[in-house]
Amino acid sequence: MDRTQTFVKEYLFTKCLEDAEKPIDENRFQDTLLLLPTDGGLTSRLQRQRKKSKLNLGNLQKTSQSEATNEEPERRNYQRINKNSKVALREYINSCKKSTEKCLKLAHENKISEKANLLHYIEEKHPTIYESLPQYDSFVPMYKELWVNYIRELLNITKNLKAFNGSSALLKLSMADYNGALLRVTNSKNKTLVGIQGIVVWDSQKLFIMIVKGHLVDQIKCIPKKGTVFQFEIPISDDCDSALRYSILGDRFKYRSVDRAGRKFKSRRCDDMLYYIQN
Amino acid sequence: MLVDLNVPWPQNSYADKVTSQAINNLTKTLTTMHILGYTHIAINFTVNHSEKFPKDIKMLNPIHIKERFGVLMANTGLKLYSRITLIIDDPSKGQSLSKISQAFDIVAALPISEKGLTLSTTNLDIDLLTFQYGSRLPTFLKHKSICSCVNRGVKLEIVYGYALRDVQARRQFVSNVRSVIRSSRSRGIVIGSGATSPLECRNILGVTSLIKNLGLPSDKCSKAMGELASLVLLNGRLRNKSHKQTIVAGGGDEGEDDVVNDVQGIDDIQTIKVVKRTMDPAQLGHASKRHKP
Repeated sequence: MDRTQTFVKEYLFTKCLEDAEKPIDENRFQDTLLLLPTDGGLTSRLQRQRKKSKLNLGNLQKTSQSEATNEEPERRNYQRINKNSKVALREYINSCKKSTEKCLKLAHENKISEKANLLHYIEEKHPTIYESLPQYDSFVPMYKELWVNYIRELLNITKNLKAFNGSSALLKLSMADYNGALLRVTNSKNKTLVGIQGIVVWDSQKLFIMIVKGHLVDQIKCIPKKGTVFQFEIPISDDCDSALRYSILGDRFKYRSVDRAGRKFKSRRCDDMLYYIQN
Repeated sequence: MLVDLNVPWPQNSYADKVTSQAINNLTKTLTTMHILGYTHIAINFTVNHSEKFPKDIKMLNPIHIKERFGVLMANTGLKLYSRITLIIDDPSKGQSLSKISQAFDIVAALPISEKGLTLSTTNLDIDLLTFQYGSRLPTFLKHKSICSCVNRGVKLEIVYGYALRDVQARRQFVSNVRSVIRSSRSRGIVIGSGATSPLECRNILGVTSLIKNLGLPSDKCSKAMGELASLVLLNGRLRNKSHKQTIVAGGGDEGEDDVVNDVQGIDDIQTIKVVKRTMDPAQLGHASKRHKP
């Protein structure tokens, strides 16, 4: 049992340990017992003070009488930022999904079949839903202005492709950042995913979270990397029509962008990728 | 998708000359294969591992598929691939595979000694392991070494062309194939033709009935010419056209142009694919709605 199970490694160790390959550090025991100097009772005094400053009913009444109320909104704001970003992201995705669902329902009920009309209607009648609706157009500059220029600069793409080195470009692309890329699912074990195209909002370990432009409303979609092939194009220049095309094999790409940067990829047996060549 | 991974190239070393008659013969074989229903064929260049390889990468591959068979591919819709088979005798004399594998789609090993067999089953970066079925195997095949090799992703090849030549070769073929099937526990087996003339080509039914007689279940026979053989192609193509199987050059729109099927589109030297822009952020996100006018 000295080898860790792969799923344990994938799901737990990569997230909470520095080195997922070696979960147990061999030098974790020290031979000697270390005695640290005490602080002369400072910590216990501090703890006592903290107990006093804790909220209780009597305390609360005092403060509410004495202090002004303008402090409260600031504190709430502070809490919001400090909230665990993972939870915040999940909440954002869920709220987006809920509001798009409600939107579609409203559209069906009121028989609205045009995007502009629907948005106008919701903005007027249901402002809370409108606020939490994901807007595809607000993400377009992230692709057009940020990502395309970033990737062009990374690969040194000029109009003259004669001197372009393809293999080093592939190496760089394997370490690049895909937040903001325009991806399209070209092949998947799950056939309903094929053809979806959207801008990546977040590139997580096992998912690409994309915003997808819809016929009526824009949607946030979480597309698993496992068993899926994504395709993207890098336009050579803004005015010309040709582009370089690449695909991402999601099965071999299941790392966070942070981990991927310094990673050495290895070829494996590709029996699990039969879906890629079979139609 | 019916795949044949072994149609021999009429050259046995870099010094040999290719005659136009031999090319004609090869073209005839390929057309016969196409009539029999094959869609993907690899042309096999067999060479000794200890031979001197040319230094220039462009000279490494003598087959030049695009120039010689471009018309055939366009007319029939066949997909042709290049394969190199290295005859491995003494591993110390050979050179590294990394440079050779850049020029070919598939790399196979053909060990003719025990040392060569252990080397090719353990740490050579190859796609296929094949044997000379017309003569005795170099050593008794052990389940442990062969199966560890199969687990690594390397497939074993059976070449049925030897069974169609003379009686002596046929006898050896039967015993060799049986020992290959036994040692691999019928896992990871791929069937190739090795046809040097159009008369030696067989369709899938003929091959299945032959190999089934030798002890391979018939479902594995059809897999050996379809799925597993296409996995060999995928593995080989991904080695050159991708960075460690993560990002692949090319890839297609309609699901037709994956790395294996896209023979023409990807530039071999630069490994890039230049296309007309099809993706635009203004498009709708769902395919069915996108294609509507």
